Amino acid sequence: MSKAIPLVVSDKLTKFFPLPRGKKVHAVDGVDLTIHEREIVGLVGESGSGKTTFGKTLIGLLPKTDGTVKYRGKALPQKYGPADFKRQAKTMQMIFQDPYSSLNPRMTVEEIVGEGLKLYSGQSSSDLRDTVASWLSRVGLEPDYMSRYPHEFSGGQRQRIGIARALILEPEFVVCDEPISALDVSVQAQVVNLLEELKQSMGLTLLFIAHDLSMVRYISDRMAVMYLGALAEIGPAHDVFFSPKHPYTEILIASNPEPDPELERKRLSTTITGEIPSPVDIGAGCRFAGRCPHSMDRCRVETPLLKPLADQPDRYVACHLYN
Amino acid sequence: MTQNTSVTDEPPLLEVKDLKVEFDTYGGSVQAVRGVSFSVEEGKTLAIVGESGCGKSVTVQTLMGLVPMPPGRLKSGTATLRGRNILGTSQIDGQDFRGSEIGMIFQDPMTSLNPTMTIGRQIAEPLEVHRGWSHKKAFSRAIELLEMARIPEAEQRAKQYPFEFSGGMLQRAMIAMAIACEPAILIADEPTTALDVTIQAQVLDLMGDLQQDHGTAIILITHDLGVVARMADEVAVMYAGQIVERGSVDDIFYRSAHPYTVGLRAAMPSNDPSARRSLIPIEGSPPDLFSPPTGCAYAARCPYAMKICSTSEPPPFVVGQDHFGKCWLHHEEVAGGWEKILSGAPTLLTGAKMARASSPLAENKS
Ligand SMILES: Nc1ncnc2c1ncn2[C@@H]1O[C@H](COP(=O)(O)OP(=O)(O)OP(=O)(O)O)[C@@H](O)[C@H]1O
Ligand SMILES: Nc1ncnc2c1ncn2[C@@H]1O[C@H](COP(=O)(O)OP(=O)(O)OP(=O)(O)O)[C@@H](O)[C@H]1O
Ligand code: SF4
Ligand code: SF4
Ligand SMILES: [Mg+2]
Ligand SMILES: [Mg+2]
Repeated sequence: MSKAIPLVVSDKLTKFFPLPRGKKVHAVDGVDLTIHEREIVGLVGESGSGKTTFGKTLIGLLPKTDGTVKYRGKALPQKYGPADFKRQAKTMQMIFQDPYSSLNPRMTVEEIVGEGLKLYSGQSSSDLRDTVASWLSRVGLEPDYMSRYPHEFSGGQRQRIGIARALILEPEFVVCDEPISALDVSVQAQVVNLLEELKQSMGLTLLFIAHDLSMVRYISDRMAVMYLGALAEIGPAHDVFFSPKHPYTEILIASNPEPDPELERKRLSTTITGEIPSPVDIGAGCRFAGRCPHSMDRCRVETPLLKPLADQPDRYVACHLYN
Repeated sequence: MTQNTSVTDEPPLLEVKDLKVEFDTYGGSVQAVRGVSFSVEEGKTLAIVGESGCGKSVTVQTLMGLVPMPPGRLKSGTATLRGRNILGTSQIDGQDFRGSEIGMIFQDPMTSLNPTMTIGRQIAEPLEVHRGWSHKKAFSRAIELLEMARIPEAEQRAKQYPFEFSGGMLQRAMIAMAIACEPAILIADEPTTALDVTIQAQVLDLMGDLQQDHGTAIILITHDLGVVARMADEVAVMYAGQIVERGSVDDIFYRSAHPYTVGLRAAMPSNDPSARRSLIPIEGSPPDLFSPPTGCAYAARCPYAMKICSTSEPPPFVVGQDHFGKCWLHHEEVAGGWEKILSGAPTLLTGAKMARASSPLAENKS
């Protein structure tokens, strides 16, 4: 990417959740990430590693414990008030991971998808209806569905309602949290093509959180890998997918199931062994040390920092094997 | 696994015949499931794949008596567990079969878990109900089950509420709940959708172990064809409320017998490093389930559609042992037939193998 302009910059972004007896969950622990204009950054990683929390904290849906987020060079508030949300609705949106609990069951599809526009754009109600109808068809839903309620839809259909709701405001930056996981492969292709088209036509920038590594490789410019609240690796998506550097990334990519029964029958178990990490007691050293096949003495005492590789300066890895 | 002789008097573990389910709505009735038949055998995994909204969840939820009726309506069909009816009831011989005989992992963990009850209690409850265990015994078993489902700090986590769990952890908690009573059949509706691929592998292993140890039959609904390739013995491909192709996992991937199955292939990203082709979704949209077409439900989108396709519904043509495709192209009078017409067309199989040779970890596992 030439002349990439930073759009969203997180600096040591941190989010802890309190637990009983003074303990806390280190959900996001000092993440530095720069997302450039018109860039799609794929975020993958262990479930529970803090991807959703990072996305929500990034756009202010959760107050920050520490660290800063800058948007177009301006620092965003540590904790949002109603006015901040209103101001920001047209620039930043989120597609939520859970298409079930994120849709109000008492609102029709038209009300759900059109709500943001109604609040923030002042369109007349007939224009609004047309806009809702056109967004429903862009995500592959029949506009006739407008008067129905969320419970009348399948999982994948609900997920697309959530996508239309976020995109209808034509925001600049969208955190897409598992936007396609509940969709069949054909509708996935349709949504991914739509996102790519919007990137071209409206200059949309995305943080694309997903577990489907093949799809993340396909859609993202860069791929970031999160492990236990911190970034393990980030770099061009193709390079990370085809030649992973961090030992966790290697295991992750090697576990990606292939749509080929013969290959799968030959596969031996790729299950990671070793103690299950806890985001509660995070000590010194590498977070992956307890499960890493390459761990060294140094790994247990010194926390590896995310650093560029000597021979590939656009790739960053947090692992002592590389410095 | 022992080879089963097929001629026995034993009824199949689960047999579903001609299931039809409709929903009465405002605009008319939605024909969500339109004549679905299948059976599952002990120790085997049947995967159900198909487009979003084609009736997969409604099919299995009907078996579990979870479709609210009304607005839902059972139009026809039978379902038997070891020969005993399970439709329209939650009991066999006065015993609730749900949870004990058939366990279910739901697509939406958040709405099927009780937000006001701790995770541990929710897993312990069926053990108290079905097994008559004490509060304490059931709760410590719940912790063990959470550990089996790879939840870190299981003891502490058991005392937490659903909102305190990440999406993937909720899914694993549901799995712990579903297997608590060691059911004969485990129905899993997108059980690993919310999980990263390493934990997905662990959960699939967990389900596989359960199957090995207890001969559990698994019905697995998923959109992930990699998961299908890994887990399934048999596959049913659904489209617009019907099973349009059914066969062994190899049949479906290497000898696809329905244009819809073939169409899925072009929509998937390939893992070939040199390929940068765009994803090709299947053109058009699924038919209106208020008034499904008279002919083949796929006709409006099918690149091979013929005249007959829009007027008569294709029967399931048997194309191999236990393999059928509901498509007129298999009719003997179709010039050239399926092989000619689709020769050279891609099957579902992703031919490209991943260039993983460079990874040292990939090497030691093979
Ligand atoms: N409201 C909350 N209260 C307490 N802990 C929380 C809360 N929300 C999240 N957590 C914890 O923070 C950690 C990160 O959760 P998060 O949902 O961000 O993970 P994730 O990477 O999105 O996982 P998944 O892939 O499973 O969706 C987890 O340990 C989770 O249990
Ligand atoms: N309560 C309801 N009222 C009206 N229609 C409904 C209701 N529940 C489901 N449907 C419709 O029935 C059809 C089948 O839904 P189902 O949830 O079984 O789909 P699915 O195959 O599981 O899809 P997905 O892969 O998206 O989860 C859908 O078209 C849906 O809109
Ligand atoms: S720093 Fe050490 S323990 Fe951590 S990933 Fe690298 S080699 Fe493994
Ligand atoms: S019956 Fe006709 S329309 Fe239907 S899948 Fe076969 S060729 Fe296509
Ligand atoms: Mg998440
Ligand atoms: Mg479903």
